[in-house]
Amino acid sequence: MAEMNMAKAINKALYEALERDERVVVLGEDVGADEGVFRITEGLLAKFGDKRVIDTPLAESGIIGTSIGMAIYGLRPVAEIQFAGFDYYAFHQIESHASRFRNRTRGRVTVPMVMRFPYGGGIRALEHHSESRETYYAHTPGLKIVVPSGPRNARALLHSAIQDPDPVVYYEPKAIYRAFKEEVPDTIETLPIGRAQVVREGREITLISYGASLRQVLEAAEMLEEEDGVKAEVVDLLSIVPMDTKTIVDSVRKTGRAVVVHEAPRNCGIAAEVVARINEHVFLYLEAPVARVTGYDVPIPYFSKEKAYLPDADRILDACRQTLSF
Amino acid sequence: MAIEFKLPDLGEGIHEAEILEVKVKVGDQVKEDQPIFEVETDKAVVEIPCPVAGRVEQILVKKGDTVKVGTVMITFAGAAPAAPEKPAAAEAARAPEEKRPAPAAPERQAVPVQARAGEGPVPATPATRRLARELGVDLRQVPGSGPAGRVLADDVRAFAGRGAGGREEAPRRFAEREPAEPFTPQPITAEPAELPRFERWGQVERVPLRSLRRKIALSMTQSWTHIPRVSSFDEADITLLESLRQKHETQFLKNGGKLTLTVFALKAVVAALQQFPQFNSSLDESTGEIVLKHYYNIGVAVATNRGLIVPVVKDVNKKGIGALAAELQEMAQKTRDGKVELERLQGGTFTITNIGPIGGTGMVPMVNFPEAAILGMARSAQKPVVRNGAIEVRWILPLAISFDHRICDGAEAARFLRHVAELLEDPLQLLVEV
Amino acid sequence: MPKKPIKLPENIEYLSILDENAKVDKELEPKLSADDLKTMYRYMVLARRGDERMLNLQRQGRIGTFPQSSGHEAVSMGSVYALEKSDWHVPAYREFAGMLYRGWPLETMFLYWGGFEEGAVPPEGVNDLPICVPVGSQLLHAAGIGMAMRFKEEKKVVLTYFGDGSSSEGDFHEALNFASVFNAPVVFVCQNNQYAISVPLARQMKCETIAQRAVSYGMPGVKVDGNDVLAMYAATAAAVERARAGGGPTLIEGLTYRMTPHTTSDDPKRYRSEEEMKQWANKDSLIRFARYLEDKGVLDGDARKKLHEEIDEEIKAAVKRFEEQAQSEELLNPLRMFDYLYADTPPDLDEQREELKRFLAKKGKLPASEAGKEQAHTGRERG
Repeated sequence: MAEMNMAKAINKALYEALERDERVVVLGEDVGADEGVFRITEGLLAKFGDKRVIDTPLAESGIIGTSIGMAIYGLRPVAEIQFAGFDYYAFHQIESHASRFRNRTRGRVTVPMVMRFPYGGGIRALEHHSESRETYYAHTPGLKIVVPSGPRNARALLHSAIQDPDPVVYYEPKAIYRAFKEEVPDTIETLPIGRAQVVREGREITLISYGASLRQVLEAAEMLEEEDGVKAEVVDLLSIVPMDTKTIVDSVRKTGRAVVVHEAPRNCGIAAEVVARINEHVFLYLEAPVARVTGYDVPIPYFSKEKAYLPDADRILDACRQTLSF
Repeated sequence: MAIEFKLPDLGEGIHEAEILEVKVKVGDQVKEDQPIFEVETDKAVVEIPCPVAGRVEQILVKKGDTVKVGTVMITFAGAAPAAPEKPAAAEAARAPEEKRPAPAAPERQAVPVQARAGEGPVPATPATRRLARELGVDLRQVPGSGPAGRVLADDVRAFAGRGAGGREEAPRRFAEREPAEPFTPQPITAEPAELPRFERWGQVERVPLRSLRRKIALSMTQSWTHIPRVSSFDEADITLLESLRQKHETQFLKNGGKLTLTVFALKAVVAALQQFPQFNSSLDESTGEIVLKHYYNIGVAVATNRGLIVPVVKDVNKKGIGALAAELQEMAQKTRDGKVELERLQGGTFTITNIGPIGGTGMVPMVNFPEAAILGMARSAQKPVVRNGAIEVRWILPLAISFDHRICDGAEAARFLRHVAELLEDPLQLLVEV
Repeated sequence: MPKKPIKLPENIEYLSILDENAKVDKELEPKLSADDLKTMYRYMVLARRGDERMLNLQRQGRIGTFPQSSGHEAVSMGSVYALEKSDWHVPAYREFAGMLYRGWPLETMFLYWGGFEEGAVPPEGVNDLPICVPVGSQLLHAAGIGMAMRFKEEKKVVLTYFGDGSSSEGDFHEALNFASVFNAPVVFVCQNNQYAISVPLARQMKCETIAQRAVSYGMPGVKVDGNDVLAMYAATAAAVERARAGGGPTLIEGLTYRMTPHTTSDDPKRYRSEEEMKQWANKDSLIRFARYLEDKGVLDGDARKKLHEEIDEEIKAAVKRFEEQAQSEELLNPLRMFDYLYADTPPDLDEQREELKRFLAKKGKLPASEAGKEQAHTGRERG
């Protein structure tokens, strides 16, 4: 057991994967000597050399497109895109190829690869560095998308992603890279992709979220208990695709009320999908409309105003109270 | 068997084509892939090659015709189809709109839809709908007591005759709660008094006056600024009433009501109001008139964990002790649970506030604006009193009245209060009078 | 600090061995056996006749829209013949001849254009990627495969194709750049047929050749007469040999002409003259190659006629096999759309499969093979 932050935990997973599976290669811009702009690839070049830790030309489509070729050829590429705000350059390769090879070749040609995209706001970053666009990938059949929310699950999910036979978008909440530490066990752990976790139990309302927003949700849940005496259940999705419908609806069946939280824009966001599934499965258990606390349908404002855009505990608490008093 | 050839979609999303040339005649022997038509689509001029070898039996189109995709253009006799006979299932799956095997069930099976009596769906949450289904209750028959006439789970239960305790459920403290709005500081009076900066002397915390707390503050400010209030005090010896109350308590409980002092006070107050109608009135400041009310709706202050709420017992003069006991009990509980209906929070003519269960030897209540007066009851206790020259232990109830001095005077108030006290002291008189 | 010209590393050459009059340059003539030559010719004819047959199938509504490949046989066949079976072949969508040669059965190609993903399944043991529709994007896969070959220290080569239009795409640039930076064994072959649908080459670029773009990536580039199968072979064989020896990628531009519309939905009369088309028809690779074979005594007129008949029979048989498959319950089963997306179908996708299955069953359209299977519980609750 060692205590570490999420940045270190992801680094640890990469190190372990490179060590145990010789097919694994790490590639991207500045992942070598610079050890990644967020230092996620720290120590990897020194240990594994430039054959396996590959600094690429500055071209996202090139990174993802060649990763697809490598994966087809039997390697296990783990591609890093510096900021999720740049993955659109590679979108065509992801949508048209990474996600489709298995299907269009009826399983003959497969693309086991991981795409690490650091996403989200809250770090006073440059313009184009704070987006949350998981919906694009969730809307692309054939991909899986996982979003860790802390050091331990980050490391376990990355191992699962690397071992997965299909392409996985590993959406990294960069706001919490160094926000807190957790005990991470020495032995390698995995987490089943497609499984959510109930991280806080309660009976009166269900809060559903993932990634960096989970911290705000947990804070709101504490406030709700302290100030209003209401015990909220909190579900951490962990996987956006496949989505763990069962865990969501089991919780809402119990509580009858739910609030879904993410920092991505609201329109056609993941929350909309969660609400739809709740409607489909446990409609008759609802005591109130399911609320969404999300980013607004504007580009995430530059950092002078990003706080007002990102869901925080107060906004979540407010939505909870409205839902509870419906 | 004749083979039909239909115009295929020659481009992507082509719907029709114009026949430019028919290259064969009826009776011609044709070879597979021999050109048979030249047609023009929106996209291009193309030749259509013959799909089979055989003899042209019929030509159903002519030069200049505009033909829709899927139209039979030509038929061939004595032709072997180029493609093997299609298995029936495959055919069905490929061209579902053409040949559909007869479905086992009628094509569109009508979904049973409940005939609707009213104009549209009844407002109720899905969970309430489920409860209604489970209890076999038709929602359209249930009067809704929630906001905007929404049918609540309790309405359904009440309708089903099972009562509120019929099913275990997590407490729903928030059911009537106002949505918590983001707090914007705003004054509660037109001319807010200035305050020093308290922070100079130590740490402070500023708690927003939200919803109910804010309403109470506004209403009290209104009462204080509009009503020149005077108070008067008295005591009632309720020894007899208390023994009666204790004697019959169990029986009332069986009927669903708790026989409290407030129940008797309700009756006593109404009797007094009938005698002193100015205490059941309001002053209309805009017209300079006293509005006397010929109905007796008595508000009863209920302390809840969110603040003071005053639900109203309507038409107290028309109700017996038993009914009042039951209603008061139910109303107080609902109020504490935050489930009391909006209409039961309005229309009061006089208010009773009983702090007795909590304590206190006396009080100066605030008039519940825009009413004219309020009765306060403090804790009743056994006290030594001089009676017929001897000290006796008696049950003494301290009473107070606050009233709008613009409408009533102190002497009337003292008489009013005495009348209430006398009725509580002599239960028989209470029975006779009301 | 004088100004002086920077010497660029590569000169761009034009290569032609067999000209349109079937005159062969004896010095440059590649050493190919009679069997090699017959094989190359055979697949070129198979592709040409197959293309013509597919046009009829399309006009008869038996397959869908497809991009024709007549005119592209020499670029495809000449280059692919330089590969070993263990090498990789990453086509665009006019490499019909090359794909047939690599081992894709004719009916598979019909299936693909007939609307079945099954036509995109590389046959067992064929190291090919399937047809790639989004232009130029496949070049990056080839580059990645080449990088992986280097990683595994294998002496293999990957051959990939694109059109003149694709050379304007960003992925073209990124692929050549990656391959070059990582010294990947990739041979990039351009099917320069001079038109991107209707837009002529002059609207794609202002340079004289596509081949010269190699210079900016630090790799050799050569322009070849794309209707000259011998020149295409010679140029590719040299590039393959260099790549195999660790010399990195090469860009080859084969200049040819699309003898057909872009696809069966296109009308080229809108943008090219009859005269131009006729001119290029005279340069047809098949005509000059047939004369070369005849001159060389490899294949005379009778043998050629016999070969054509054989090929027509082969195509006929393939059409039959295609239509059997295309009408088979197995391939038509709509539920197949769910079965290959993930290694393990996630529960929510399974639920969608069940939803369609129930609907088909209700409408009496459920394939018999599905009927017996147990229906999964949907997890949906009704009050």
